[in-house]
Amino acid sequence: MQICLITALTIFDFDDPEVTTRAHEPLGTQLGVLCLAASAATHGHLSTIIDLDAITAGLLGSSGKQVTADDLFEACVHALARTDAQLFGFSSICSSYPLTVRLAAEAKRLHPQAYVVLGGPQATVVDTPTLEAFPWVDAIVRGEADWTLPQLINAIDERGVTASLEEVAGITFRRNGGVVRNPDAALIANLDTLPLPAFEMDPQIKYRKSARLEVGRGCPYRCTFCSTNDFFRRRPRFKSTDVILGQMKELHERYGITSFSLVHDIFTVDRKRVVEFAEALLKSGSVYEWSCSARTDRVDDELLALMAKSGCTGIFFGVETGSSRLQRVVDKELDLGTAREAIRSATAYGMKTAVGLITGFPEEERNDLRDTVRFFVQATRSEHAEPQLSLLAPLAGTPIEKKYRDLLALDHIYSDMTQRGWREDPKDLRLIKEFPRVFPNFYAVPTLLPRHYIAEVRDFVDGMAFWFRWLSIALLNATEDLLYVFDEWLRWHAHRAQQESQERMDRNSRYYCSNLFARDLLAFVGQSIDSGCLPNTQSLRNVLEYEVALCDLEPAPTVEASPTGIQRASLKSRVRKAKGVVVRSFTFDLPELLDSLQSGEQLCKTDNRNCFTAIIARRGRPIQVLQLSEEAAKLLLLCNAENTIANVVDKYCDAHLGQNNRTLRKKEAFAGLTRLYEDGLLEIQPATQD
Amino acid sequence: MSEKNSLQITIEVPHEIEFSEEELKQLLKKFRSWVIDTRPEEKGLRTNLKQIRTRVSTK
Repeated sequence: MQICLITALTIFDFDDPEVTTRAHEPLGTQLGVLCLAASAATHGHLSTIIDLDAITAGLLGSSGKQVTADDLFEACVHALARTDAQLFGFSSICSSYPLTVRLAAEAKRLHPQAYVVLGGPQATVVDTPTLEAFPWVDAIVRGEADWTLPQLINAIDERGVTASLEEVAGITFRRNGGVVRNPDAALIANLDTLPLPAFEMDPQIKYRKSARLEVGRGCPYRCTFCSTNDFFRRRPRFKSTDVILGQMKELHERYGITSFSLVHDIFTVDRKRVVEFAEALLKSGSVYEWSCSARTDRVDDELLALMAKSGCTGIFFGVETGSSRLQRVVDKELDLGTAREAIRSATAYGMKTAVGLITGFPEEERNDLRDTVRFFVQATRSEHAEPQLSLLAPLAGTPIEKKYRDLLALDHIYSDMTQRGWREDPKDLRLIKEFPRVFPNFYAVPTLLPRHYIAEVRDFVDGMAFWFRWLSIALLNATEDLLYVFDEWLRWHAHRAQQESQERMDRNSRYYCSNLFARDLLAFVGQSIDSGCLPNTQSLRNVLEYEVALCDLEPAPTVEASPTGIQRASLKSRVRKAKGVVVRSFTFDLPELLDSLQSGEQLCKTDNRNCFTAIIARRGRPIQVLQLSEEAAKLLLLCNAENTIANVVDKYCDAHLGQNNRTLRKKEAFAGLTRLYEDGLLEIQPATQD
Repeated sequence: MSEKNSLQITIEVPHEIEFSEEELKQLLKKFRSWVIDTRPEEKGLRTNLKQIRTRVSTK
C-alpha cells in the first residue's frame, strides 16, 4: 500500500525567518516518522513524507513577504493534494495538534477513500476524545507504532475498507458509529530488531552534519507533569551498543554525519550501558560528537568524564524546580545539591548543559518560585550551562492534567511547550475552545500565584540571564532574592509610566525579547542603585559598568579573510585599531570580578586598579573581551588611522620620556605593534599602499 | 584569542634599534593580551530588535 506520513509541526515562529530556519536545519525530518517509514518499508509498503517543518522553512526562506499561519496551511494542503496514498498518517505533538487535526480534515476532503490515521505523543493520550470530536479521523495508533502501523495497514484493504481492526492491538478506531479502543500493543522488547530509520527520505540529509538517533525508550520515573510514560511507558529499553555504533558509522559513511543527538528520555538510567557505549566508541577510534538527556542523580563525575572523553558535547538535565519541597510534590525527587554538582561537573568537562526548569505548578508558592529563579541564575555561573524556564503546560493524560481537568482555564498565557509563535491562530483557537479535553495543554491549571505574574517573572529572568549573565548573578548575590528585584522592576516601570507621556511597548514576551528591555534593565539597575532600592555593592556597580560598556557596542562588518603572504610596512604606513575593536579601561580588576561571580566566592577589594581591555565586536562572531597590558592599551590608543608607525613610535617614546633610554622604548613600540597586529587588534596599511 | 591576521606584515625596523630574537621575545611579553570573557553575538550586540526565542516544541 502507498502511505503518506506527515510530521508534526514544531516551528511556529514566522516573524524571524533566520532564527526559525536555523533552528530547523541541524536535525531535519522528525525521527519518529523516519522510523515508521522504515518499518512500513520492511513490510512492503511505500511511503512518502510530508515534512511540515521543511515546508515552513521553505516558505520562510523563499518568500519576500511576511509568512502567515494561513500561508503555511495552504502550502500543507497543497502538499496533501499532490500526494496519492491510501493511508495518511499524521504524527502529533501537543503544540501543533490543532493544526494536525485541521490538516487531517483536508486529507479526508481531498482523498475521501483514504484512511486517515493519527499517532504520536499527543494523539496517543487523547485518542477517544479526538475520534469523538473529529469525524474525519478514522483511527489512532497509540504508543510506539513500529509494529502497530504495519499491522493496521495490513488490516485495511486497498479500498480503505477495514476488515480485522479488532485484532490490531494499540489502536483506537471507529466501528458502527462508535469508538472502539483495543488493548495496548505489547512493548517492543528488543529495539535492535527495528530497522535503521529511513534517513534517505530526508531530502537534506546529505547537507546535514548532525542527526537524531534513537538509542532506547521508556522512563522508569513517574513525574506528575510528564507525558512520556503514556507513550513509551515505564520500562527502559535500550538498543545494544553494537547496533548504536553500527548505525552511527553507517550514517557517517553514507552522509558524512559526525554529530548525533542520542534520543532517549533518560539515557544514563543504566550506568553500565553508558560506560559500555562510551568505552566502545573510544575503542572504535571513530570521532563523533553526541548529546543525550539525563537525570542529575543518574550521573557522577567519573561517568561524565568518560562521556566527555568519548565525544559527549551536550547534555540535557530536567531539574524542573529549584524548590526542594516541590521536588517531592511533583514526584521528581531530585536532591538539588547533587543537581548543582552534576551541572558544575558536566560544564567543567565542556558539555553544553541545558537545565530544564518549570514554573507554574499548582502548589507553587512564592518561596518555591524564588528558589527556582535562584537555581536558574546560579546555573549560569557555569560557562556552558543553558538554563531554561518554562511555564507548566498540563499535558494530556499526566497526573497533573487528570487532577485539575475540571478546573482548567483558557487564559491565553501559554507555556513554551505549547506556545505557537507570537500570535494565536484564530482557527486553532476555535478548536481549542470547543474541545478542551483534546487540547488541555493550551489551558492553565489553577495556581497560588497569579499566572500573569509567574509568566512575567519567566520572561524577565529569561531575558535578563540571556543578555546579562554577570549582572543576573551580581543581582542575586546582592539581594539573595530576584523576586524582590522583579517587584522593584515592576515599580520602576509603573513610576516611569507616570513620568513619561510617550507610549511605550507593553511588557509582554516580545518586549522581554527585545533590545528595548536590555536597555531598560540597565537603566533600572543604575537608577535603583542610586535611589537605594538596590544594594550599592561594589560588585553590582562594577558589573553594571561592564555591561553598559558591552551594551553600547556597534558591531563591525566581519573582516574578510586576509590574503596570505608577506608584505612590508614602512615607517610611513598608517596604523589603526582593527574594525570592531574598542579599547576600554575600567577602574576595577575585571578578571577578578568575573572570577568571583563565576566561583560564587566573595569579591576581594578591586577598586582603583586599572584594567585595560579590548572588546572585539564583529557581526556573526562571538564578542570577545581581551585583557590588555597597560603598555598594549597605550600603544593601541595611539593607532588612530592618522598616525603612521613613525608617529606612533615617537608618541609612545614621548609618553615614557625620563623612564628609560629612548632606544629601548622604540624597541618596545616596534615589538608592541608587531604583537598587536598578530593578535588581530591592529590594521596596518601595507607599504605598497603608502 | 581574536581572529589573528593571516597576512604577515613585516614592520621595517630602523637599523639603530634592531634587536635580537631573545630581546624581541621578552619585549613581546609586555604586550600580551588574553581573553577574559566571551559571549555569543546575539547576546552582546543589541543593535536591533531581535527575537531571541525560537518557538520549538517537541512533545
